[in-house]
Amino acid sequence: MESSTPSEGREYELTQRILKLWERYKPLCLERLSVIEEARTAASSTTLDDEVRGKAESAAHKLAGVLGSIGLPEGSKIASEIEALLRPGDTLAPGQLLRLSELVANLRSQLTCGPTAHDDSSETH
Amino acid sequence: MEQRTILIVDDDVIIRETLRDVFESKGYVVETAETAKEAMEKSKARTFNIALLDIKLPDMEGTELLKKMHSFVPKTMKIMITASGTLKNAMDSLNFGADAYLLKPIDQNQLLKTVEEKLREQYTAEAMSEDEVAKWIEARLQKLKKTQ
Repeated sequence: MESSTPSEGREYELTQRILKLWERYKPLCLERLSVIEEARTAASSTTLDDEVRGKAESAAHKLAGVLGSIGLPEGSKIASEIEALLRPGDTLAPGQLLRLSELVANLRSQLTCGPTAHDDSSETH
Repeated sequence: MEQRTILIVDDDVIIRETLRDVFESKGYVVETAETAKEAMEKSKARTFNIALLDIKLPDMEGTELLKKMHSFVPKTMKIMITASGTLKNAMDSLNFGADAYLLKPIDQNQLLKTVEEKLREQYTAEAMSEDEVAKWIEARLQKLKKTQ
């Protein structure tokens, strides 16, 4: 039987902790993503109001702050970019709208797969 | 060994519970607060070695909370954490007495390293104060002996 080094043991323990946290908070993260998707849909049909935009910006801000800590550093970066696009300001230009759609789709893919498929360990140790 | 205590102040439940998990697994006694008001109440009720303060809180700017805490719990090491790092909140944090400033998403290794470093600084500062008090008592005793 192979024995693991202390470092491998710590790594394993950490991965297990992150997976547990992810399982616990995945529904809340998906809820936040839904708020962003609602804003993206509204923006596509030019009905995005300040309230929906503000809620989506806040949801993106929160996701940007937490995803890197629960094994999804790439998700954090994507959420940060979404947050920047949703900051109060002018109506989104067609190019920005397209970028927003791409980012939201990427974020959903990150959240659907979870940390096991995406973990690059940069912010999770 | 004395228990190391830490107060985590963040309005996001995921951050609070993730950090609780990180620090409890390292043997820290952890308390959390969702608002600045709750953080102040908890800081008045017990002394914490470390306070982790989010800059964006629902009832007050984290830098304002820092300023208040710095006046009534100056010995607690205060570490600011934010997902919106700006020059202004970094400068405010330094001016209002922050001991460190970290950006989200939090790198758990970096955070643990920073907290341990601040605990060492705190221990050194306290040991120095005790040493100074001991020296002062010794000097007073010597003086008293001379006058007898």
